[in-house]
Amino acid sequence: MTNTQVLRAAASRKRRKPGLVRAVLALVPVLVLVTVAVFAPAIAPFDPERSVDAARLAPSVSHWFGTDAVGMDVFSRTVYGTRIAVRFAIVVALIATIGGILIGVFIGLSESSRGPLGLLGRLLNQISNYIIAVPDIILGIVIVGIMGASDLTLTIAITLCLIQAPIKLTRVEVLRVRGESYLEAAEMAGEPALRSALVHVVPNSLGPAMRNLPLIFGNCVIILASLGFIGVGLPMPTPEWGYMISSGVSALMLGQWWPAVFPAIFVLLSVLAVAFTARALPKTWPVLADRFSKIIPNRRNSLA
Amino acid sequence: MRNSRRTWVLAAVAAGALGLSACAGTPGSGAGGDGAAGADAVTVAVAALPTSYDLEGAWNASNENYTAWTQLHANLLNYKYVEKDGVMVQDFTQFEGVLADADNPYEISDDGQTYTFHLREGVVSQAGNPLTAEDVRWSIERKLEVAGGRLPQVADYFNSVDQVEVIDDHTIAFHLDGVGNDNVFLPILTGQMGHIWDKKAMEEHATEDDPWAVEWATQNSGAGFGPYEVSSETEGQQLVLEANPDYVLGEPAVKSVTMQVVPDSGTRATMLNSGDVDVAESLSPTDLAAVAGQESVQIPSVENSIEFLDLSLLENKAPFDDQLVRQAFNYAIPYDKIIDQVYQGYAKPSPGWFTPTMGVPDLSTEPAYSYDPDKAKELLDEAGKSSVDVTLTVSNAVPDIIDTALLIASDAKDAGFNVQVEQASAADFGTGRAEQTFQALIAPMRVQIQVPSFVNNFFLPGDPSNTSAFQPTQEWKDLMKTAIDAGEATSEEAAPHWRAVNDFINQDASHMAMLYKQPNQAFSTSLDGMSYRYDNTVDYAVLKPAGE
Repeated sequence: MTNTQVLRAAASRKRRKPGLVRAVLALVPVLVLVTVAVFAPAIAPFDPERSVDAARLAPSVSHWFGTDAVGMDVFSRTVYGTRIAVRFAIVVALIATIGGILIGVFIGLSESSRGPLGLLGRLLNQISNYIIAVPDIILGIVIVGIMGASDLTLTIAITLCLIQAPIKLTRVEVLRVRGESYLEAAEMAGEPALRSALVHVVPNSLGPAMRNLPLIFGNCVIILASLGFIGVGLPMPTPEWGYMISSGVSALMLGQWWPAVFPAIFVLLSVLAVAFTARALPKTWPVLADRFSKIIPNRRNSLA
Repeated sequence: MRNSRRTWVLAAVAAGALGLSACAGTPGSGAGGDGAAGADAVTVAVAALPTSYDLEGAWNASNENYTAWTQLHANLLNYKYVEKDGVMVQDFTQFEGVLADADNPYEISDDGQTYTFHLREGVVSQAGNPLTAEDVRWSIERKLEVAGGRLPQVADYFNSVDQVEVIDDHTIAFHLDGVGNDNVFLPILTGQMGHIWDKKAMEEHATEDDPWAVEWATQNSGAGFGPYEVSSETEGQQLVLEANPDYVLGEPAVKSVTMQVVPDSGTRATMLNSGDVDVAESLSPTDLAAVAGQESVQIPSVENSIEFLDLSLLENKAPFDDQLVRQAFNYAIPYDKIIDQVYQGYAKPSPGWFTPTMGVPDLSTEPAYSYDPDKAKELLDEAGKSSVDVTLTVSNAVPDIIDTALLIASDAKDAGFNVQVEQASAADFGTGRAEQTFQALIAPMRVQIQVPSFVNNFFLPGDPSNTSAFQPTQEWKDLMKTAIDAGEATSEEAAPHWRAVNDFINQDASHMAMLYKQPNQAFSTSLDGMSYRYDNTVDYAVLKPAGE
């Protein structure tokens, strides 16, 4: 390879490295999603739970997404649906990820030991295996069927569906990290087992579960919509995308596509938005972190 | 990176699933029709197939079962058909002989306690056996012995086969006890519960363990006297009925009825509109409206329908243990909006449980309640409440009722009611409704026995039909007794008392007929003889090619 080729290759690599603008743009889809969710009351022109006009009006200036079978404004309901989906997705993603990491660490550290902790670790691992074998929707239907449909029960149901992945990912990482030589060195240096676990094992086992978090977010949106679609979601007239789609499906045969299609598009876009940002983040995060690290010392200097 | 890719795949799967969901309900290739059949054969789009051919053996109330039972069987009597605006409407106060003689179907003794039926001669069953009084007696005994016989409504004055006397081959008498003006004996014999079996054919299929041939009759036809019998059934797809050439009222003009399963109402309507089927049953109001006015489609309309939305506000649960709150809720319902938006005009406001079809003279046709949020607020104030939380439960199998509940939730806010709509599966809804565990509910309802005193069955403590947990007061009992004692329900003397009973129910406001719905079938204009029956099924025996 000539010097010129080497320089061109280096320049190409430099071009591929995202700049600040591209880094910020990567966050835009999720920011838009969150903005719609937060400012839903300001964006939606009508109360999403009120019949505001005639039924089944086609999209128009008055009703951008038309009206549904009872005259509710589809745009307002879709926008509020974003708020509900994002709220559930954030809560479930955080609980499932944090809970999954804690349980995964516990299983990974305890399952090979003797005594009650080992027994508990193996039991939790086995329970997790069984739950994984049950399809998410079936699990959701059973839990909601037993406990009734509410914010709390749906959160529990969806979390239980989605917590298994972080548990397994973290457990595998813990088992891997436990074999690392620096742990043996720490043990030989007389470091207590608990401190060793907290200082060395846990931080080095978080990565896969954290990278799984966007997947939980997207899955949560889909499961929530699926449960709503089959009629075991949030009580009506809560503006929830799944129920909106299912209630609008029969009108498709009559050419009235808007009550079902717009919320379906929003389900799709919300999942794509999180996927896009999650995919871009590993590349753009160093750029953003670098910029922040420059800003923060400057602020400190200026304060000084 | 792998997770991110999985997320993209997930998104694509979500999009695909949503696309598939949008296509749900379209008919499968196996159920596809080849267009309307010939002049004497019709194809019908139905939501499902019957689950039982034997009402007594396996009772399950559904439009499809009612259709099978009424087309495979015949009764001693029918309600007389009267043509109104192109629709054959049953007059629930007039009976005519079917298996009973046309000119002199029955006689009632002077004391009103003995009903003597004269059977037609020369009538044969689908199996070819002649009708005799023994067939009637055996059928009545079967209804009393088999769990689904459903004769409890006449148990007060008829509960034993010993009360049935075979006088000769074509004469049979029923000796009743203590019959009064609240007599529903004839309507019971005329309705679903009055089907007559061919004893000889049934006994061929009876076994020691199953003396009433329930197992056979649930899945087979051919032992009745009805206008049709089952020709073939493809499970879950279609059922073909062939006309009975020996039917007592003459072989039906429509020789073959193919009931084709099309689960989605919109698809059924589209198939009718495109000529793929001749009749579409159980259409949603939206789909009725969509095909209304089409050149090739006709929709039956009746002056007084008996199908209504039954609103139950349970008296044994707060806040509906307070009559003022119940009245307030009735004023918080946007009736006109529901009729316009949900029912597309295929419904009428309700004056209450008593309708002109019962024959009570001068019943008011004014709506019992209208939407008046201010009045509702006043009543809530009077009850010491400013805001009331309500959970309104509906079955997820009835889309128009779900939409009705949503409109109530929307507009009742202005009256101070925060309504959450709870959807239950059909099974859970049925259980909760019968066990009175819901706070409030809406269900489709009809009074199949169109006799004023029969309404009392829906207000009896402990009766599963008393879905509002109504507690009869002394005033209620006195009103009912006075009305029954005043004379025949259709008499001028009794009429003011039945009107008073109707007013009492409306003021109590716990168990309300919210609005009356029009028939939900649509027909090709190539057919004449649309009908409206007590059970809201299509009577294929009176259907015929147009112009015949």
